Amino acid sequence: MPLRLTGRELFSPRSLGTLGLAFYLTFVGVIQLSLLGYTRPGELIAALLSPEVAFSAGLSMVTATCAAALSLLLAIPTGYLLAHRRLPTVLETLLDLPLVLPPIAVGMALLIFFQTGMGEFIQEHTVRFVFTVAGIVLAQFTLTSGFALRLVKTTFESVDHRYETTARTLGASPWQCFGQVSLPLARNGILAAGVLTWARAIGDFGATVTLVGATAFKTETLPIAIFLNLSTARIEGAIAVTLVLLALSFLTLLAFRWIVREEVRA
Amino acid sequence: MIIIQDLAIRFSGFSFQNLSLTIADGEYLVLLGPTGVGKTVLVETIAGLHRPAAGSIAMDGTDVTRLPPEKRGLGFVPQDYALFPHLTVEQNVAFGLRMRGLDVQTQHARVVDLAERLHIGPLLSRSVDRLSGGERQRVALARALIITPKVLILDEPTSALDPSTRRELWAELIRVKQEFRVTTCHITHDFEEAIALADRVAVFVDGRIRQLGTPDDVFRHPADRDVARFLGIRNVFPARLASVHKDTVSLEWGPYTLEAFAPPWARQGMTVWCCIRPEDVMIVRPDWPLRPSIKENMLAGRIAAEVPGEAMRTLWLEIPALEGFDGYRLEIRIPNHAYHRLGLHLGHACRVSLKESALHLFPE
Repeated sequence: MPLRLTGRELFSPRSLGTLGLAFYLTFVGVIQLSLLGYTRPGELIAALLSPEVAFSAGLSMVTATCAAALSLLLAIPTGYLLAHRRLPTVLETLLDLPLVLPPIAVGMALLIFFQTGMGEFIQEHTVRFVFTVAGIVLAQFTLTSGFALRLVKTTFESVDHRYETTARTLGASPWQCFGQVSLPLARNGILAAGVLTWARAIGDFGATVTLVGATAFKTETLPIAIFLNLSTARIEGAIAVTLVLLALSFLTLLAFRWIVREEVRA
Repeated sequence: MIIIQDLAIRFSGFSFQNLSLTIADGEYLVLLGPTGVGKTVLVETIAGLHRPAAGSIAMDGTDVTRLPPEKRGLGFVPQDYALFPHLTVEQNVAFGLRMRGLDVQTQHARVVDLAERLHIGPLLSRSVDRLSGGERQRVALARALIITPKVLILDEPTSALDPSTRRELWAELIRVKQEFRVTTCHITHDFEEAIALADRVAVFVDGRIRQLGTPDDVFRHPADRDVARFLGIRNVFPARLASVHKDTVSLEWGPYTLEAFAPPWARQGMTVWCCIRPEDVMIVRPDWPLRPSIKENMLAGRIAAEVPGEAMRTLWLEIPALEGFDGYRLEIRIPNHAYHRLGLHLGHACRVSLKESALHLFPE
């Protein structure tokens, strides 16, 4: 029988989905390509090689890596606990708050905190955060730690509890059980959580700029570099930085997929 | 040896009270009970995974009630085995030794030796997701036995296997039982498994151990109606003790009078429950002379329903004289070859004998 689509088959959920997908891919593609089309290659390459891009890329990578590492450091033990103990709903919701709060609100809260007595005491006696690189890490950490915690908790929850109880009956202490069973089984999930956390940290603008301001060659992360270039009408610079961010995001997402696929295969 | 005294457990919807049980040194005890009654919660409590609300558990003279699982020195084979997916078979088997900090050479030597005895030597370098169900079971067993446990706990170890692999593993478990002589507590809901392996069977129904005895004892002489029902004895009916003699009693069951061995508690005039296993109901050939032992307790009926089986066939005999009484439909199980030799079929009229030695009585 020849394949002929009737009107009803043409208008099916799948065909509608195909249409939506075609539109969306074009939409995303056109937006990205327009960045390339707007400038001449020579200018773009010069902008990409500028010391400003190198500085902000370096600063972003260092701060995002620190923030992601700190987030995981907090998320691994806490997520392990939360995977095994239920919290009251109010507390659970509190943990999710940094996930949905607009970044600028997070930055605002941090800024105000450092104006209080306790905040000032911390700044005087430990590390200065307001208008410093440490502040960038803190802003990113505040924004991403809840996210990392949620991901790591889900990962530990997906490890069958029976592996852990069986390990205990076979003679593993709680530490051995964590180190030899739970952690290895959650390894890929934690790696994937780290990658996503890193991507989220490197993309932050609102929280960072509110806490540390936008000072060229000082607190100039990649998103802040876009803002600075744009506000002084240096379009090539803004495009170059955007492209760097785009490439980094794409690579992190690829890495994430690769890790997740490894897990499925294992 | 395990001594459980007055144990009370309240955990995830299960609650038991006053549970006491002693498992002797080297004894193989099968805890038999229907699915979903908390057998697993009970053995997990013995293993130290849940804290009991009251009572005590002692192993080899040490009170372990408050000890964490890793200090109890037992071997645990959980349901579906929970082999560690990130470790090879050898690393899985060696797990308990590694946790105890033994050096690598000793670990390896002991794993190889045990693998030899359990016939899993060739599997050692494999990854666990490449094992068949039966192989997984043996590996899980090896992982539990490697630490020479004081007590071995097996939670439904064969329920995930196909029937023929299951029989193979029964043979293996019998060999392990004879060779290792480790005190074992084995959970199952499978009667055949209990009969095949148990030194003693504990029947666990409604959160209580209702009967404890040898498999023969439990299956032939259930302690009460619930146990009988659970053990698949559908032929349970009330009868009146018409007269009590020295060794036997006469039972009134509708228009019939049955002879049975006298239990010590028998009193004339009381109502008792009478049960007989379906495979103990004997179909009598019409043309054969009757041996005196089966001349008594004869009933006549008609085959009203039948279900074929692998080796045995289940029949339901309707006995017209008992219409309106419990036991009107008598369940019978006979070997397929006997069914064919007797030329039985649906609707066939036949006589059956309830041998007095097979009739079991318990008080109301």
